[in-house]
Amino acid sequence: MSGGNGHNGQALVRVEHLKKWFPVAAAGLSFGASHEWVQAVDDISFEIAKGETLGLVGESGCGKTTVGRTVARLYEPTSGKVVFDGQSIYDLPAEEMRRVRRKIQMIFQDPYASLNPRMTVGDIVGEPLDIHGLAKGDARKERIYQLLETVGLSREHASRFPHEFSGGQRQRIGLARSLAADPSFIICDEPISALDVSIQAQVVNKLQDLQEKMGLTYLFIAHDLAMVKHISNRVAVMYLGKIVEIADGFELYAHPSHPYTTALLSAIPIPDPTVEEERRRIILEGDVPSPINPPSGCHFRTRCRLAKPACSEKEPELTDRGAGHKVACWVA
Amino acid sequence: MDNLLRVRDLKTSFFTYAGEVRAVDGVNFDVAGGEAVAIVGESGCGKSVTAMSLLRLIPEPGKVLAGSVELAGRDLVKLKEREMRHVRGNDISMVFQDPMTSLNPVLTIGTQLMEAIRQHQKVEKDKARARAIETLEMVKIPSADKRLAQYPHQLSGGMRQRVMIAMALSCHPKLVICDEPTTSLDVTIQAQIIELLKDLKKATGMSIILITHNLGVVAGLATRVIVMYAGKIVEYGPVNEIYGIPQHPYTWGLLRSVPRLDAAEKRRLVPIYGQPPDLLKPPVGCRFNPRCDHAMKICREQEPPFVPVNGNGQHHVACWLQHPAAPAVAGFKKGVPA
Repeated sequence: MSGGNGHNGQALVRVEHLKKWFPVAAAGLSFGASHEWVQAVDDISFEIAKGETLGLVGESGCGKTTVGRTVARLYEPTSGKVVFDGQSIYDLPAEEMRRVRRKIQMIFQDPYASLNPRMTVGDIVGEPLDIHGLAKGDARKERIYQLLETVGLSREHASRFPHEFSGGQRQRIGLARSLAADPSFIICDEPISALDVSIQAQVVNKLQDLQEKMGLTYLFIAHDLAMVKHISNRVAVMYLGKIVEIADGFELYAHPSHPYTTALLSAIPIPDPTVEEERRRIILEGDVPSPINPPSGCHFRTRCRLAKPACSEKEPELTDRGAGHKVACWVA
Repeated sequence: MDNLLRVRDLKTSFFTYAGEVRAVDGVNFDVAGGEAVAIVGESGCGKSVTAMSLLRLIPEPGKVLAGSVELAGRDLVKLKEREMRHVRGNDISMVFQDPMTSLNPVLTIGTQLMEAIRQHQKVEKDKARARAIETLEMVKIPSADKRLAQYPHQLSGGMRQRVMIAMALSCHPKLVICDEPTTSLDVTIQAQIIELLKDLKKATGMSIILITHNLGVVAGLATRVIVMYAGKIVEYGPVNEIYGIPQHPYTWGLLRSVPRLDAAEKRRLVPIYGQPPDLLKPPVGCRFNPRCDHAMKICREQEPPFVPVNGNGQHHVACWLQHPAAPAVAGFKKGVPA
């Protein structure tokens, strides 16, 4: 693929009009009454090229985690399509899905909750090998040692339990587990938010090294825009179930088009007092509206300082404004 | 500016079954009237325990072992518990990290605010109510009188944090300690809260101690910065100097390990290797030495003294690299503005 979408090479992951709505019981609901829906992910499309990192940012409740889980088919979608390596994964029967899932792995946010406290580190890392029947006996052991060393732990750690490790080390164990089945695509859901700053850099560098060495493709989900810009080739900004803007990381920072992106960028503090003193903040009023009954038209219009009457009538589509910089806004 | 708060040689330990954890080990600092001082460091460095020690809110098995905390000339460590209770809320108050767990979920906002006011000041109920509405307006909560009847779960995270700030300000304290006030909030809400704290500081003349690990938040709010590591202050000084000409390798590490949003090109992050020490048996000498790229023999043997740098009497650092006999480190000049 050339130029047009702002990335090189073949798309490994293609997400088309993905929707994931969750039913919620309305007040006073009885059997047979209609549900209300949390429109967690509402008609989003994007592509990730092979070897690329796509960053997905947004505030809590914007649906970014749901995107990650639905793309991995941990949630069944409400509608839409995900094409992974040429296969439409939602059409696959369970048995074939399991084979594809070997190639799609996840790293989770909470390194405390995502490791079974009763399993040894060796068994945690080795579990994907057992499930997919990849290695047995000595070969399995060797592979576990090799995986631990790949993420910067040592083979002695295999017989220990998760509670003996610090947060950063646990996140490495999660990383080793995700690498065990030899994936090509890893969904990183806030992999560093629970870690101290000095440890975050260790994990991020490790992720980058592994990508370079193994040609991995990442969907990097986080709320820390500075870190997302650092690790990603392209960045998608989500607001209330929609992607509002998607562009190359530097381009997005230099020329943000969507009013939400502009506000989000200006809200992020920069660790430099001289810069901070001169910055003009755009302070967004109020809070994110409920995804149960999102505003009509553009979801952001209730907090947007540029909103016009037209914004409440029709939903803006994500359109290409040149060089793969896509924006969904009537005004920008 | 006169010093409002003067902390000297503060030591707080926790006596656990495994032994004594020296969470705060000889800390000295001042806070001037109307000033915002930030304490930064990673989890477990003792920044929250320092704050709790100032208010004497250290839970068992912890204990303030030594030192003095002088607030406008009065040593809080020597006060009776009854007197201390009068200091909390009236003179020093606190805003906690998680507004959901620090508010009582079964009481209305109004009940909780009025309780705080009537606990500390002798006022009638309707006066307390008026005062509660006034403070909610001060923290820019719309339709404040209606909010009084609401419960915490009916408010968003940002609104709850505003209520916590209102509660802290309700008795006009001279000093407000904000312990990670924005950590659990989204960035756009964080920006709202930081702006609010700045405005309130200007309007009321209160002093702020801001405890955080977010170096960006510090840069926007504080005038002086204290960097803590493993229970000790390793560096303190004016905010411009801490960010512009940091002197301690740990401070360099903190600043280099976070990416900057305004970076013009991709630069590999420089992590600090290893992890913070176990405070049950902290390293001998400088506590940072096992993770320091520049550690020398003396760093593993003796604790470095605090020395002034830059000759303005404001900026101090505890590091052996400042010693005249220490070798030069590339890209860094000893105590001289770069």
